[in-house]
Amino acid sequence: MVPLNLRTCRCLFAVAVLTFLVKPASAQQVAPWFRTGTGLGIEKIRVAVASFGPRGDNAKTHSDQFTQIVRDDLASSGILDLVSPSFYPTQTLSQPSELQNAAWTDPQVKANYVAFGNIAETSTEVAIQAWLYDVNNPSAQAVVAKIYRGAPTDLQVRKFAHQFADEIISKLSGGLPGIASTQIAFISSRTGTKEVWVMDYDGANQHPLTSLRTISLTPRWSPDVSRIAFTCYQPFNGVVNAQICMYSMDAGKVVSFPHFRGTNSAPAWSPDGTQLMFSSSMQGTPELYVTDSSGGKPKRLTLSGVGGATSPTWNPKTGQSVVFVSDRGGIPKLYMMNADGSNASILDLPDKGYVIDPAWSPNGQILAFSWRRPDGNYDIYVMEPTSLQIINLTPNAGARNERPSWAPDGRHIVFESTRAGTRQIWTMLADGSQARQLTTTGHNESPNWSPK
Amino acid sequence: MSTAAYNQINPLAADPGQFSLRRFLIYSLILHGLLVLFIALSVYIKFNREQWGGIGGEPGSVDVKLVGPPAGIPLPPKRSVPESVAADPAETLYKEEEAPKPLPLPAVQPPKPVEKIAPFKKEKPLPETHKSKVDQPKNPPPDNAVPGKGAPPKIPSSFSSQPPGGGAGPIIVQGQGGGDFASRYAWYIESVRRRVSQNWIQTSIDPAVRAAHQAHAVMTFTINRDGSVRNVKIEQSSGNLSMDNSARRALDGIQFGPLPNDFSGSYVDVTFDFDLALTH
Repeated sequence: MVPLNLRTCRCLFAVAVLTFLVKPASAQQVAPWFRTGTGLGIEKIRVAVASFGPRGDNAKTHSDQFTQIVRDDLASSGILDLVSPSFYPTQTLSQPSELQNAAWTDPQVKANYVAFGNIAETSTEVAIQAWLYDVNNPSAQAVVAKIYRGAPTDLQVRKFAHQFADEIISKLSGGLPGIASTQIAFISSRTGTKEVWVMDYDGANQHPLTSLRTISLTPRWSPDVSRIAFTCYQPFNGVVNAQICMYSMDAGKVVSFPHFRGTNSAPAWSPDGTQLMFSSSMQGTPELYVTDSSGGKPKRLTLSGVGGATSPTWNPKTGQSVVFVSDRGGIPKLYMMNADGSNASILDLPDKGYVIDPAWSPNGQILAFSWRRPDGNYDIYVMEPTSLQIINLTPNAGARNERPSWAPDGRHIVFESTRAGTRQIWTMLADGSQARQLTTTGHNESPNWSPK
Repeated sequence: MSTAAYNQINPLAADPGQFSLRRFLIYSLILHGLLVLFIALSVYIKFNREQWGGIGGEPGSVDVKLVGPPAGIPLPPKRSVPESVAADPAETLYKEEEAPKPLPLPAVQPPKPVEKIAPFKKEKPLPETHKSKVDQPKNPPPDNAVPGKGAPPKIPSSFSSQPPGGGAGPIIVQGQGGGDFASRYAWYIESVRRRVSQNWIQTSIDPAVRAAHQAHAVMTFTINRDGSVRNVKIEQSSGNLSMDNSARRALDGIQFGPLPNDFSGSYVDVTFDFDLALTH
């Protein structure tokens, strides 16, 4: 037999091993990435909204209206500065091809983004082209590019303007919701009786929902905005009492809801919308009860003894804790308990006085409430329950400020105030600035901001 | 038949007296030795090419080295608070030395003053920072510890506690990007920066660390197409547990806006710097 040639054997072996050593150079693509950081703090974004160009005289009113609403929405958003229109360059700008970046980044204007577009209108349709461009980026620029088509009515154009503003807020804030399309439910007595009304978040479009001609109070939107629970006076076994009533936005009318003995008021929805908590004196003193969303299976949660419990507010983030008002200690104070009623404990404040109307912020971290301290009138306060630090949002208003309710962006609060002489609905940013009156006719109170 | 007879007719059977396995043994040893050598060589080459725990530096991308230890392996933590002169205990040994008074004799040259040591300034010693370890410390602070007398509640509004007139530009290199994301979507990067910065609640950070304005944590994560976040990791610990936790919490459950419509990728990797030195 031929002896194995050791050298060739070794060579073959070496070759075999080496091929395993040399990794095939994988053609790895550069994965998209970026690096950024907290930097020097957040300057406000500066956005300019150029006048939208009407394509034809018949579009003039709507293009003015659209422009104005977008400007108002962005100015009140709390996250950006609207560049004042008096500084805008005088170019006509209704198409991307007409945009000259230099004119808008000029130190006089110093805009980061510019919104512009045009509106065309026929008797049956309005078509709006709307863009938002990043004028600091000479290459790729369009942040938003939308076309809105619909009926050529004021209401529809208003809706489109709100949608465009929300789109801008969402894109520039990194995903936070805009509130331009949200609504506020409230109680108005301008027709003679207290009814449930609804309006856009900016006070436009105020209209009644109910005409029960009794007394309606404390409207509360369900988490899916399909229903509004409220307090109304209805008979139960021949006796007219405060009851929990339900308005269906889908059906456009008040729908039935079980009635109970005694006084039933201050409904509060669970964050998932499956339960309703309210205050009821069906078994004597007012206590907190919880039922399912159609009012079945009432279960008592609190045992206040001499006092009572009312005004529950459910933590919208966790659904696990509920803050409510109780005067079991003598005067109304805030208490916190688990959603099943256990572990109720007082929320201590560094001063005396009535504390009422608690409302959790959407992120479940801040509590707003109304407090009448010994030296003052009712003011809206915000508190972080973990640290018990508090801030007065309405100092020096010299009036009663009550019933705060949070916007779903967690940046705005709606409340009732008597600072203008009569009881009206006001909004402000969550730090107390930019207070704005929304209602003027009659008496208006008890606002509640829709969750979407 | 006898063994001797068998051996005579079997051509393969070597003469027992002369046959030796030694030759084949040597060949076998050589081959095995070569095999071991090749294995050792390949391991050596492999280790040299790739940093332990690294991504494998491709040209054109940021070489994101894992400065911290790979998960699960505790290494001594890096101190983020630099040694300062004042904190150096050896300084206290230096005594102030006055230059001796020159003798008032015109004829004699005044002796050269002894080298004047700068007077020892007793600076406030830097605060003790809690070392952060990869595995749980023996007495971890409670998870949601908020100092009782801390700052006012963080109102989610862009007005709150920011320095006036943000300067010429951030000190940290911002908006670096690869795969051309940064050049095309500066607005998206900016929106992520704002969102995380506003979500960063600093009230839970050790007050001493906050006062010192000296902590820097780097986090990495990936943003999916729909804006949801995955793979949140500490890329570089600040050396302080409360600071690291605050950075982690800023990203907890965060949902950004969806990636730009005309972006063709399905995700983007993000490196995010949390720096106390740059904040109010």
